[in-house]
Amino acid sequence: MRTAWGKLIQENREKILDRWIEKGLSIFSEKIGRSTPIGESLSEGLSIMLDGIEENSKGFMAAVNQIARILAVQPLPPSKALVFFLELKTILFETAPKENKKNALTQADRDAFQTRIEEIMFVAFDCYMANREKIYQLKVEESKRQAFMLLRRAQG
Amino acid sequence: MSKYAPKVSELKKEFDEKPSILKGHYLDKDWWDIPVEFREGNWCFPAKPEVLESLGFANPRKWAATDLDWKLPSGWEKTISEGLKSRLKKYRSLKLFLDTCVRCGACADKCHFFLGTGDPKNMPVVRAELIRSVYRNDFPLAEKILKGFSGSRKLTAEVIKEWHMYFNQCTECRRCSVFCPFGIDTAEITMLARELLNLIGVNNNWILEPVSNCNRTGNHLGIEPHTFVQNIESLAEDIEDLTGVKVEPTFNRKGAEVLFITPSGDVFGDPGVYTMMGYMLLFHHIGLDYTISTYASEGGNFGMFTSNDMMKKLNAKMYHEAKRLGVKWILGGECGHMWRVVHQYMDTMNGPADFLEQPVSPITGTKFTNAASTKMVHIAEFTADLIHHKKLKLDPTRNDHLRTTFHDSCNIARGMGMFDEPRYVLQSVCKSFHEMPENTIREQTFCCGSGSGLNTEEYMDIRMRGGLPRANAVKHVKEKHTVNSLVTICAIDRASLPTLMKYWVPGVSVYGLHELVGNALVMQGEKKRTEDLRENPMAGFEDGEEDDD
Repeated sequence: MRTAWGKLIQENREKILDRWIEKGLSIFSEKIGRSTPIGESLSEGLSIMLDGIEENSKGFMAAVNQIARILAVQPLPPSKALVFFLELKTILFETAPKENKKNALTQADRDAFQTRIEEIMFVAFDCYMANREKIYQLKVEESKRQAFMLLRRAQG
Repeated sequence: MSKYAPKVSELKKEFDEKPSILKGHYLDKDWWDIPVEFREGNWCFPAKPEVLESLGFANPRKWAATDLDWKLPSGWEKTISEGLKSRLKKYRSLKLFLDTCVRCGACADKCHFFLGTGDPKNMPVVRAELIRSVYRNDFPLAEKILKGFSGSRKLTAEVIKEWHMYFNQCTECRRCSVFCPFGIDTAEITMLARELLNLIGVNNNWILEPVSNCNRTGNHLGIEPHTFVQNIESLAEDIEDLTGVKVEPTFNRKGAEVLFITPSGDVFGDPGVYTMMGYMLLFHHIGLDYTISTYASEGGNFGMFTSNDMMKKLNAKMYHEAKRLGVKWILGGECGHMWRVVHQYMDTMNGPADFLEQPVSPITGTKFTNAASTKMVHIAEFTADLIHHKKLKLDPTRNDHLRTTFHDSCNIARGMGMFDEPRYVLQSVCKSFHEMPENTIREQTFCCGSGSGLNTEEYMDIRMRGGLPRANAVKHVKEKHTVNSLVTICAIDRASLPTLMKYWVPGVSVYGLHELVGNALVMQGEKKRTEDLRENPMAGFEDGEEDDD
């Protein structure tokens, strides 16, 4: 990690990841365990995201999409489904050493992290929308497949 | 922005004011006090009035699950109560299933809908409890005395809404039954619950329209005989273009040895039609004396998701046609719930089929003693027997472009206990095969999430959630073994798994088993094959390269 906040995440990885997963699972109206398919997939995605949090690498984007794909078929509006991505900010700032202590984050570090979280949020929203659109596209494709021979005959 | 999108203020209001389990609103309440909420994507459209009228079913009307008033018929409580009472008397199994559950919870985390939604009412034990709580209130005397302690409740319109919600979040896959120490068949509880709901007009159009079509023309899409024939002949032309071999299926031919019945999805849907081409190539290859009925033109039976009587009526055409055409026995294609009906119910519902003979393979002489009573053989068994006796000329390298895994269809695996035959066939026609993890295959197979008449587009969100456990298992073999093909032997799987794969595991295509058989069969007099039945290039057989055959 290059940044001060990145290093802080790296040093407290397990603790931060654990809290982030907990926040992620809490958006569901039902209790979802960590060992369920949703829980496992979410944990895996968040873990990959955290390890590459500083930039939108291919692996990072795939992890965001993996999570967004789950969220896009939940009975939640995007405002609620995606909110836990923002929670990383709270978790990190609560984890960070207090001002004047060793390794404390400067205001510039905090601003930089804030900007990065906003970027992540937009990426997550893009992925969420792409998956919602995919659902509608799949509905059309499925209807066409079901009437495959009919359409073929109609098209001569 | 979409006019349907809620405003921020509305969302905040909803979050602040709406009761939620998370905010501790139901801590001191019983589970049944948590209301059900129908919203876009979590309910199936109800049957159109004309569909119900054509079947003579109850309460035809226009309504939606999101309506406050479902326009239930007057006296519906009595209809349900007496309906349940008469069924408890008629089906000893139902009474046993309602009485024996000890709520051990072994089934709880085995349901794909529970795993995919986390909703406690999707635990099979609780889903059955939705009916059991009413049964306890209304029936056994001891429970009446113990009222208040026994978990009983009154039948209200809210209960009906709850039944409609959760008995349509069960695909009757029976995975829970595998783990139940008492062997309680939750699928049969769901079947009976849906039967009761149909008595008062609470239903699903995607189930009842195919039932109505089947009742009229013999198949789900309502295809009439001439179109049915034209479709199959058109597929025969495709076969000739691809292989140079002219296959000549016959229709309604009296005196044929075998009647072949397959789900109609194989005749009109993609990718089912490629499986149909595989069957036709196989039958031509071995010179089978078979015919196809344009009336028994549907293997599937959505009556199973409607009522016992309707299942019986729709199933009867199989034996009627076999008798009319004077065949010796029936060969059945790749279908899921069709085989549960055939294997577990047909013999006692519409049998015994004394006019048929115990099936014997005309090619190998094998007697199918397992079908001695029903007289109907599954095509995977039939083909496995042919391969075992080396009666097929196969070139599995023609499927080298496919890296496969096999999805056990619930009803084939758990409904009739067939695991090895399709795997034997698959591994004989394709060199690359990798199993999904042990707890997701064979008798523990995960459902596609769209079975039992839920494969409808308005239900897509729930289907994707219910199919997540299956998709995760495919993802595992895709990442570990670069699997790109999911092979299955069920028409609903062939219709729904392509969607599930495209959403969760892009890059994996869905194939019928006999499509791969069709690819691998070396036909007499064939031209050089460069493409598979989907007209995709076969690895190593491209134009200009030497064909080893």
